[in-house]
Amino acid sequence: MKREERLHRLFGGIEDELIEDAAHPHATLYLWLSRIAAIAAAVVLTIGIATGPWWEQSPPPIVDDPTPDSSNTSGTSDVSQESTHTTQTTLGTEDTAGSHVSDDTTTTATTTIGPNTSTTQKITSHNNISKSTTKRTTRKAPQNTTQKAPTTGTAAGKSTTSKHTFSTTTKKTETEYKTSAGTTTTTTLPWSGTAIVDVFPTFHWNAPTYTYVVKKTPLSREAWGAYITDINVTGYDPVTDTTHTIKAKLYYIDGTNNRAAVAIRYEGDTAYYPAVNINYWPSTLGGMVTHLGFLTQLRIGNIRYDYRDAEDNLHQAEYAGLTYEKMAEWLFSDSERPNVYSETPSLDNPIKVSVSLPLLDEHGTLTVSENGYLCADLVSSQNAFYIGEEAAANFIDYVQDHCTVVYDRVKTGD
Amino acid sequence: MGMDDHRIVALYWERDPRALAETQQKYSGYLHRITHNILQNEQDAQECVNDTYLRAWNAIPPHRPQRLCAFLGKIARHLALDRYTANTAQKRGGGTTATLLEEWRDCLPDTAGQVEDEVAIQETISRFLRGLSAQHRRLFVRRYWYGDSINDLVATFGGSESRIKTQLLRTRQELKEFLEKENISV
Repeated sequence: MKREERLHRLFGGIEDELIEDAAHPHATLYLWLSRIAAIAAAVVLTIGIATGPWWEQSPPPIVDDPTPDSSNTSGTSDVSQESTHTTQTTLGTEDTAGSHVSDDTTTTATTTIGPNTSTTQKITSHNNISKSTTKRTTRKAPQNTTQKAPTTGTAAGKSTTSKHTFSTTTKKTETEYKTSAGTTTTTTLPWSGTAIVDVFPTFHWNAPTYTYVVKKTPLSREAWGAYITDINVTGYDPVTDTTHTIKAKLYYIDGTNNRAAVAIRYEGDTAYYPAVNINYWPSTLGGMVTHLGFLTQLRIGNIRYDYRDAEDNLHQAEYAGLTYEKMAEWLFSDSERPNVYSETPSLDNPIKVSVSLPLLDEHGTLTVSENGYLCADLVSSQNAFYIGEEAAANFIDYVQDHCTVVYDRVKTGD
Repeated sequence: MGMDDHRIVALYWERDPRALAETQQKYSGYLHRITHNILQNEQDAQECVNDTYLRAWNAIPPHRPQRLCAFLGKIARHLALDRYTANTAQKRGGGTTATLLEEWRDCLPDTAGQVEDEVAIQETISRFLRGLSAQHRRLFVRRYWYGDSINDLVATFGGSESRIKTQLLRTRQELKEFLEKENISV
């Protein structure tokens, strides 16, 4: 690839905010209209006449906060415990489903469906993966979308040799389609050449509202713990309109609550992948810190903060070198702070800390606002806690006074 | 106005086909503009838009894009550039994108830097853009991300054609200096 073409492609990866900012033909006018709309919304919120704040339109699922999961502290239980798992399979002591995980869950297949399909499936095989047919519903997918074969050059169309047994049981592995040039080309369909975590990317477990997303980086042997249960995982191939099912085993991840994440091993595969619950909803700040194993797992990246100086100049700054101890001291000291995501107002002058949980293959942000909120955008869910304006101010002061300045420049324009 | 983006993303996560319908209703024009600017071919552009929907369906979950507009736009742009490369190999390229690539040469660092990581380079470019005035930044992004023609830019931002070209040239030179200063290798 030529250098200019590479640069052109690299330019495609600029920050989303910059892309959206320029998306509107009259961006400046749009910006002012947005500001006016934001002010109007704030006024409406203040006087309380709105039909409903934005967060009520899609409230996060409410999951009671479990007490610390003792099973996760049991250390590295061996796989040999698989046959005696029933006493260790409680999903927290206050599970909203009101039930413990039992052998019943082994028959609870997931219902991942694709366009034009409804819930699934009649298992027709006793192989590692079973193929099932799907039933049409009256819902109509948009034209030219889901039933279309991938075009040459897309990731979906790449062909690799799969080591998993499911690739041998799919209906067909190749198809023909016409390219824009009018020629007929044969390409390998996504299903046969795609990694197992991509064809079975999600599963439900224990309650309909618990959906786990499987991450792509396998866990090391030290990271997964006791066996939990067997499940069936379903994946949908939109190209052949076929639903596939595979058996899998779930395990605890050491130091992590099973409501937040578990490890999954697909039948016929040797790797253990982390899977995070996108409906994870801790009721307290301490619950989140404990369930996700912040103390041992959290990695802290750089911190971004836009602020105004005494002359009212807007600065854009980035800092580095924040330790977990200091972050915990300023932000996590009151573990009983309730999760108030559904009540969170706008975040005033937020400072954003990049964080990651390498064990769970998760990257996210902890945002602290001057009006005293800590928002965690992590594990594919968002949670917010009111920590108080004083704690937030102390944290921001600490970052500015003690962390390493990566850059700090006055923003021009606008 | 279409459905709120967060609700559309939620439909994807629920594997609800309405996600695709809502995406198409809200963003088909936006995506078509991106792909058509690159490809200058109606059929190719529409196929890339359709592929974008399929890609989005396969990517969400596990992704949960915070900005669906940019997320879809990036997919469409990437697919269109792939198609453009293939078309160029078959001598069907040319047009605006060829011109853009020529203009990008002005930004290539003369010196061989040490930073080659794509994410780091993209962050550097973003940082450069944030340092520009809002007007200049939008002009640059409209030209090189969305692939708008000079005539489109004149219509959008006002001024003369020569003024737009001059401003873009200056920004390209600034970017080149910035990349060299940041030790970027392209």
